Amino acid sequence: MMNSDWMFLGTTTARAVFMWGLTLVFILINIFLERKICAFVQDRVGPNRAHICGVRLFGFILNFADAVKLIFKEDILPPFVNKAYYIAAPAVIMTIALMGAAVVPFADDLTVGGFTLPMQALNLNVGFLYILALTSLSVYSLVLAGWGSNSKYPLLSAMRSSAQMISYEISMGLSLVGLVMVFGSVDLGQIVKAQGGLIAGVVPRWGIVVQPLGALLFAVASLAELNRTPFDLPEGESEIIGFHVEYSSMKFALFFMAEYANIFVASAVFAALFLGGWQIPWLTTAAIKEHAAPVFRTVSIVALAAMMAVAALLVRFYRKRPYQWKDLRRIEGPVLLSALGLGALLAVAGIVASYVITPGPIMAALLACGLQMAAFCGKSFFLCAFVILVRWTLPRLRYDQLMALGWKIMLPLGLANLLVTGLVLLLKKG
Amino acid sequence: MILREIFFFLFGGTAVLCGLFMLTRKSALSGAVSLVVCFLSFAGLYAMLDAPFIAAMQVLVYAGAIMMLIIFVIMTIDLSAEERRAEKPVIVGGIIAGAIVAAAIALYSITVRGLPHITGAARIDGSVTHIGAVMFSKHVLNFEMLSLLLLVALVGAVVLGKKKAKEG
Repeated sequence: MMNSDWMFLGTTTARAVFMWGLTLVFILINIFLERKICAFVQDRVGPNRAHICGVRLFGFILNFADAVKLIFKEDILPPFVNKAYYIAAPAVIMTIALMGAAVVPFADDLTVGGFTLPMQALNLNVGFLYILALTSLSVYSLVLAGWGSNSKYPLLSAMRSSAQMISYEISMGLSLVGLVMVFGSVDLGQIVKAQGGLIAGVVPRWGIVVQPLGALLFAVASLAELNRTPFDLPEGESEIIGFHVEYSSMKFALFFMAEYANIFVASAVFAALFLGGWQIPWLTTAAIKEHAAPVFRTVSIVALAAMMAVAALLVRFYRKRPYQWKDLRRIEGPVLLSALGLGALLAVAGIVASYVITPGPIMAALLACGLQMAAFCGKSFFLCAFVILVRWTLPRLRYDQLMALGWKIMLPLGLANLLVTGLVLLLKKG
Repeated sequence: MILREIFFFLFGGTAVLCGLFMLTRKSALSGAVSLVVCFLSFAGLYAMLDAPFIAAMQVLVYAGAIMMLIIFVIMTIDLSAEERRAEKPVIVGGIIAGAIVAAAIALYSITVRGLPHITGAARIDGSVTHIGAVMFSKHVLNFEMLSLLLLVALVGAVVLGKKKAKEG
């Protein structure tokens, strides 16, 4: 193999592994968010028991307890299933879920020493078509699970999911055409870059500003493709339980991991298309690089203030319950507070460093990259929380309502959006 | 470029194997799933030929939408009677033998001559922008006629559907 081959392999693998890692981390975050937001909506406390040496991290540790439980459960292979399909289905859905985030850019191109590296695992020029293609494939997992289980409820679920996917895929694709016309590219990297400008010098030129109807339609179609309430007919916990009713142990868990990974992918794609992706409003890459020291100082000060606020809340929380616990939980407060103290020390060091050190071009580039990654992750996190909140807020649609919404409301609206966008662009041009 | 050869044989081999499976499987659903994997391998081959748009469309339209509809139909109608009737025909043996011979010839010619590459003037831009520009300038008449054909098919489907609903 030639040297360029190895270079290509190396950089591509590194970026792909980063995006995989991010997706896997967001699976954990989403499960945690699901539990906490569900508890909040239903006025409960949520998970507060599982701990490592007394530290519960507000219930985050329950994820690990859950993983251990699922791994050690008996893995039952029902005698009546079609083995090949039954085993393939969870693998297929997880593979597709992990591939989804590959085309989403997570920072501006990193230029170090005359070498430009696009911060995107896969810079295809077909862009979001890749995501639409993956979405259309992910339904096969549900169909294989439903058919392979050889049981009537999973089969019902498979039929529902295939009908739903076909209906909403069209609206999903259509809702994006307007955006493509405005930004003049289907590549997500280009679309995010085009969202860096300002309209009238004030409002960021984000997709949601220039294509509000497209954003709404895409959000609804994404929710439908995610198979979550209000579109959870394939799962339908209260009636048919769904395509995974015959599954146990990690095979069952894979379906849910894929669901949470898909929430992240959908959020990341929405963030990239409509919320400016890695763009920090009113702060371009060039501006960050030029004023690296003041930017770093501001970030450090904000981080310091945030940590102080969290620490104050924690102190208030633990003061209400003085020595109430006779177990390991009593060391949780000191552990969390000292971790925050360490973070605060780092922030103070950052503030001092921003006065002492003049950052070189490489450091400035890395700072811009890091900040943009943080902005992208923050937007995705917000959207994930939104998707989960929607699930616990809205009731499920009936089958006929689902079809009516897809074909009679979303499709005409998508076409109207396309027409209006085209007209406006034409008038602007001519 | 060993990578190119590895991926070519991976995708090509999968496509041929799944094509065979599609023909030989008794269960209609197995056949359909094999065809899906076959289409996916085609998409891989298109992507290797610098045609990412066609690859994406292959997955989106053929592997995604059309095959999904076929599978939906297979699940809706009861095929068990058909499956019982279907016996392994002699033709299957012939198909397999033919495929093996074809694969052997292909393998021989590729190992001797190397993989064909598109170079020079024959190599065109396969991006969305270029395809769109060509489709709406040079081939705009064909494009419009195709949309007309699809519209006719749509109206026909609605008419047929309405007729069935009235009878039932």
